Amino acid sequence: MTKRWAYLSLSLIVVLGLIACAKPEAPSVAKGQVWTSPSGKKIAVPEEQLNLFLIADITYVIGYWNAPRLVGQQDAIDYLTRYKDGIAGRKDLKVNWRDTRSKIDVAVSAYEEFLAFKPKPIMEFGCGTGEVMQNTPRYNGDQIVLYTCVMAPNTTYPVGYVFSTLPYNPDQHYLTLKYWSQNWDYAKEGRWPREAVLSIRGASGQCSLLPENRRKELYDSVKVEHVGFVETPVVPTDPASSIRKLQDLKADLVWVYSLAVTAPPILEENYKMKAGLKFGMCALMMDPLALTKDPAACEGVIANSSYTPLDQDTEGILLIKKYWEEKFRPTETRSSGYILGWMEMFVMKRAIEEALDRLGSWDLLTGEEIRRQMETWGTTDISGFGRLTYTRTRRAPDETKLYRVENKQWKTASDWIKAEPCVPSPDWLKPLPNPLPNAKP
Amino acid sequence: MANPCGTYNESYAQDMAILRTRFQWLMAVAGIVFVACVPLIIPAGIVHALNMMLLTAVAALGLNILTGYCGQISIGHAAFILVGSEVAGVLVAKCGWNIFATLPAAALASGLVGVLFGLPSLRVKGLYLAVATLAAHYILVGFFFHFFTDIFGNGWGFEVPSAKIGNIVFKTPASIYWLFLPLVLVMTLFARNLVRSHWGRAFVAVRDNDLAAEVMGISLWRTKLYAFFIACVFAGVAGWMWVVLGHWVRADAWSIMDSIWYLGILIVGGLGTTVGPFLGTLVIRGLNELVTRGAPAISPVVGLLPFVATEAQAQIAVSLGWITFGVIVIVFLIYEPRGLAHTWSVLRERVRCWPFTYRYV
Repeated sequence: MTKRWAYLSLSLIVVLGLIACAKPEAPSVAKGQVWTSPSGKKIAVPEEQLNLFLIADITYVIGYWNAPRLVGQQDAIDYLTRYKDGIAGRKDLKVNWRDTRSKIDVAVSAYEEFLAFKPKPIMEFGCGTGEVMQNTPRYNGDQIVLYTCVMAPNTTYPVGYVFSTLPYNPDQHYLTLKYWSQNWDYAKEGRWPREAVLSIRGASGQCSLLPENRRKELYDSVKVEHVGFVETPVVPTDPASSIRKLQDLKADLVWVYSLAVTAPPILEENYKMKAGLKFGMCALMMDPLALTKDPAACEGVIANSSYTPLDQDTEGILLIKKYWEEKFRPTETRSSGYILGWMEMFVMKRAIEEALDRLGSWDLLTGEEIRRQMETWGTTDISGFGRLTYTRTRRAPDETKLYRVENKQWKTASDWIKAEPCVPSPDWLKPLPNPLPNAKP
Repeated sequence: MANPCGTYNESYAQDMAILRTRFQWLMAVAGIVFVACVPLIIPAGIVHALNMMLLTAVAALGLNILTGYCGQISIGHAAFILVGSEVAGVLVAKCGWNIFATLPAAALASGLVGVLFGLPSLRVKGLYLAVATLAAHYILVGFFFHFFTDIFGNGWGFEVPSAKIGNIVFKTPASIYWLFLPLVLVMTLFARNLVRSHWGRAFVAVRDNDLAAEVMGISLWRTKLYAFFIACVFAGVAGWMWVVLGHWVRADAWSIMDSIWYLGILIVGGLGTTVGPFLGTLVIRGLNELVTRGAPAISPVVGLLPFVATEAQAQIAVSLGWITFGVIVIVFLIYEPRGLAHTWSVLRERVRCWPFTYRYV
């Protein structure tokens, strides 16, 4: 009995010791420290920690995207605090994260928990179609700006404060159709290419469909025939049946909206069955996980994304690659989610610093002011990590690049191209009243 | 509850009373006042978690009547919560009803749908009934996804404005908590009295031996369907509570795993007791919240371990939390298979008899 208690006490001491050692040394802010804004204003730096908030699925189906994203945010914070004076002089930054496991009630609980932080959050990061959508009235009501990866104006997120860092889903889809149309030999084939959509079940599976009231017009504009819609579970246990359904529809081209784990079984089955289907994927699937073991099975798959490709040596990508090497990041972390994590931090830094330059004090900084500031950006490059579009009527990137899988790697297949908006914005977005004079329309 | 020494029941009313002595009344009122004052003491984030627990407890109370008392296994309970939330949401958002007026409508609608899907219980029981109720989940979710998309939002759902009475808007966790508390008390009282009535005795008779119950004159079909109706009324009320809490109604908000966890809550809390659903909710949802909030705290510690890559520390911390959660539930079921309600009654008796270990009655 004594021995048992001794072991228990020892374990407790070890755990407590580890916890004590684990607390990182927070960069201290001296009282009375000021930050000099780009226009020369001296702005007092608050002493308390600047809390950042991430509500996303870290361990479930979208974990492949959000876990590297969290790591990217933490690495970016490390870089900003070491080399770039933090965010407006504040170097005590912490990402508070909650794993929603793609459960809506957990996302709501996490939101309410973070809302209780003092001071109240003005910006948060999120992911998950249902979870963000469930919290959208809260983000709008509490005026908290939310960064999310991707959204669709005709189905997901009728929004005010939420904006996405990837093109709208229907716009990605339309861009892919255009690419196929440009690479289809109409004379030889004697007909239009036939496209089917392969998408996950449920509401989010519909969000990349072209808007119903313009569908025929958009398909006709690229001379592509839409032949049908096939549902697939996120993890396809019977990919052969999906391929057969696509063959029954006589599809040549398949647009896939799902998560990275959906792709490999489908692509492998397509290759094994020699079905010859060509695949285009949404930006969320542009991940190393989406590539098959056999390089031939995923050769030629295309996607489009507004994040800077890894084969471009921009300032941001070089920085990321340097961190990957220094911190020995594995392949799963070297993904678009990681780039997003960095990009978000730099977006936040820029938005806050520009707003503070205008307002002059942290006390006046609110979510509404951040939005007002971001509305002046238009389409802008974020330190080489990617492109972002934020205007009064558009809150998702409208410039994107096409990528193609070559030899089991995602390679750039185009320069920056304009993603035409498929859905008119004004009915859907809620522009802020009293915009700044230089706000982009 | 055993009466204190020297207190005797001299009438049927006294015998049936839940709170028999003045002291018991005093303790009950003090308890309610304490519970009502909780939002004044604890942070808003935890109050929200309590609101979710209240919602879960109401749903679990209903399932307890169906499964714990009447012995009918249902793993489609979450779908009936969805029915309640959809009905309440549509009436508020699309028809302009006052949200409080939608409460009886949501409860009734859910109850009637429950009766419909309870019909298989007249033919099958046990695991076969469980499968039938599993089908109910998919049928109902599919219905709200694909039918009447203009009304139900085509799976995306729709926003529901905050509940309000005059100028009082129920938006903060504390205000919603004070709205939910009386409702939960009423539902608990109803459940407690139901199981003490002739219906409750009929439920138990059907659970213990349905053939003998029928021989004794209990109408099986009426009893089983009534149990489904009542259970789904509770689910409908829980759905209404979700509308008030969530401000958004969508068809995929309730998954099959939620239904399974409701059964888990009953098993951990104690089947066939009124206090069991509350204790089970406290443990299961409490552990849920602990893992969700605690994982980020232990993540840096996990990262210190030599075999853990720092980029995996978040995922490993969360996974460790869930492993611990599962182990706790398993260990608990091994050592207390009758649930926390039994532990509570043993503890209560020990306290009552202290310093003696038992009392001679």
